[in-house]
Amino acid sequence: MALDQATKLHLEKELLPFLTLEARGDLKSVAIRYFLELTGSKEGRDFIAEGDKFLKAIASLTCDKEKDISRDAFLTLINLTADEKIAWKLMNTETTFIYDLLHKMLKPDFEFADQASSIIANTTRIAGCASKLACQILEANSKVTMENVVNVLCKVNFNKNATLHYLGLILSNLTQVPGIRKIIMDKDRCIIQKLLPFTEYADSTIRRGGIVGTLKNCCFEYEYHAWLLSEEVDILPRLLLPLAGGEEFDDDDMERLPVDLQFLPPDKEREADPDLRTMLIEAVTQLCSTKQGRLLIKEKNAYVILRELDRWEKDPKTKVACRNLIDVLISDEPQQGMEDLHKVEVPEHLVEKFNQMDLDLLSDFKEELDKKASEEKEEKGEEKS
Amino acid sequence: MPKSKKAMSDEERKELVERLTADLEDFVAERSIAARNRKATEPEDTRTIDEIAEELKSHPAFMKDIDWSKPLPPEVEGLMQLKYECEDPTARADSYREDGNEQFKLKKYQIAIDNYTEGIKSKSPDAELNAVLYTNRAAAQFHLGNHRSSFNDCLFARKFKPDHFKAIIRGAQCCFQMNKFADAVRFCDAALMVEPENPTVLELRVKADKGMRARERDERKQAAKERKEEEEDRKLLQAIQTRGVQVASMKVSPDSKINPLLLTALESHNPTGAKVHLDDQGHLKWPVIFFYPEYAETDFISAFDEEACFSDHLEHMFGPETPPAPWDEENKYKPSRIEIYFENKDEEKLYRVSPESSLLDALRHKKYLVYAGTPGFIFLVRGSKFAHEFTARYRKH
Repeated sequence: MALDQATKLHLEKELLPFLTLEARGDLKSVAIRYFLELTGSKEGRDFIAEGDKFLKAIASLTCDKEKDISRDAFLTLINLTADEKIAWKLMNTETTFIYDLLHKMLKPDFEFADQASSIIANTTRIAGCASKLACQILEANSKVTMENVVNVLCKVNFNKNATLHYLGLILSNLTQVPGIRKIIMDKDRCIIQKLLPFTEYADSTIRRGGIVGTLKNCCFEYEYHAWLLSEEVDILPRLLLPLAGGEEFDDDDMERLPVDLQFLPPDKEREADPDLRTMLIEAVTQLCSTKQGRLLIKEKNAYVILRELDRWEKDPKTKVACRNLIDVLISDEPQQGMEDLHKVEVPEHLVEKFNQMDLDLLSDFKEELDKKASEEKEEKGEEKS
Repeated sequence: MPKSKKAMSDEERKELVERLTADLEDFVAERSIAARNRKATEPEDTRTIDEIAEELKSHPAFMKDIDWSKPLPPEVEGLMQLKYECEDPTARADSYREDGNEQFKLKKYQIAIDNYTEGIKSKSPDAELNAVLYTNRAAAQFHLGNHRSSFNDCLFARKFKPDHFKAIIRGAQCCFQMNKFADAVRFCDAALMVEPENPTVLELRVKADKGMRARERDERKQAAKERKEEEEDRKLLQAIQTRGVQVASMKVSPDSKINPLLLTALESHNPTGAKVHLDDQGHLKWPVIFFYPEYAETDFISAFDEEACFSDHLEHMFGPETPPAPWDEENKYKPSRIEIYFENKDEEKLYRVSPESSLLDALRHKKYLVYAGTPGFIFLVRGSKFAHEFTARYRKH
């Protein structure tokens, strides 16, 4: 659909007036439907986002009493916020729109909770938007609390008409903000603990992935490592469990593992998504950057889980992350004064060298895994003939 | 620095009560389904959850309107009678509550329970008072170690007041004492919705979560043990089948799954409990019994390697370096004179076994049948009078 100047003018003069709550229902319906179809193309999306008028109008229609109209408005905004520039613009022209959506979707009877969560997830992918929303949540008179966000996320079937899977992604995006992380890790409350069982949540990769991302973000708070690894939270087994398969260990190795990882059945399957596996590995790697964390993780025999994962792993990027973590676990302890790895200042030329080593390792793995794959194909070919 | 506790607004309180009510109803519904599936008859409080829930619907504290077209529930009828007796049920219930509390302080828990029970029976329409009565009775029951009764009272208390903190935390403690760790975590989470920073609840939740995971580990350990035993049993049965050994009452096809009855066929009834098993080299070792019918004596070999010869055992048991058995009065049981037989019970025939045979050779004989997982063999002395008479009996058939 080409948008010539005449069409643009027509949309502004003729259709925009119908994008109001007061407009006649049938005309409003045709207008919003037209804009929804417009968002199918980048040209259309860019046109809608040129000024404030269209965004404001569409946002207002999410409150329309006619369900079909509000649904179309929501779908339009989902498509628009998939574009980062437009998401940023929406956040800044309708300053409380995203916050109000979040407040609504935390009620069990909100009909468009899933659509709302998609919009919020799209918008909070942008660090600036996440930060803005976080500030609004953290205000003293805020009606939204992070504790309630977590409680709603952890209560599956909270809303009979919505899955709220994208709430996991929203939480992950918001925990890019340090202030939000600290609330979730309030030692006087029980918030992050409720998220831990969801690293094995089977019904939704999005929900599970959002929670894994949240936990990984929390592992960047180094002062909290001792608490995260203590019995009060016990985060380590929940990060390792999705990385563990059904391999059998001898009694000595078994006894040193956390109880959650002992006697796993032979049909235990690992996390299927390689991106999530990488995030889990990187979370454990962060926990290893403090001496205290590293020693405890060694003591808990995490190495054997990662050793078996490395043998099993077929994704090159994940394999690199796994090798890096294994290197930390099997290396001697750093010399005095350099125990906390995140504090060590690495010279620029060494950073470049390490990055190059990772790239070399990555291409080596790709080559090796491709070779194995082609060999397997040949074997299958021979069997068939 | 202690955080200032923010007072809950009326709206927030209302939302909290709604959430706790929904969660409690889910919990009771799940328990109801579980109880129905179990179909177990429990001695205390045999009424089902459904019946109790139905009864609560007609409790004055929950009723909003009286349906005059139906017979009045006994409680409402009682209320109307009380009206004419000019006695206030709430005042009476509260009086029993106070008496119960006095006895509780004196640690006379059973008397306290009786008082609280009478207070409950007063059927006051005051929901909060009923919640307190049930909660206090739960506390007394808990101190007597009656955790199940205590827990049921916690449920009833929460029926009247879903956000009654003391009932929720008491319920969590009951579940923990009964090792129902998942339920304990659930009640802790409900308690934390009322008091998010309560240290007692936070600590109990950690312990319950830990208990839950330890139990799950133990279940996996048990499953692993069973898998291992099943694998060993499968190997054992396969080894026996592969060798062509026939075991009485054991008929299996190679594809069949392990049936417990098959293993019963291998259960031996010897005093030591020894059982056929595979050793590290993949040899079958059988418990074997030797019969000496001349003297009504037996010898038991607990682990007879299938590859070993009978003659090896004969040398060991009756060789020149071994003193004669006390029952061998004529000292005639010598390796060179002993003849070995087994009986086929169906045919009522004796079959001869060469002393140079291995156990496996004997067991492979198409007429040999292993009974009770324990091969048996008959030892006779060649040329003896008894041997002649014994074998003659079988020859007549």
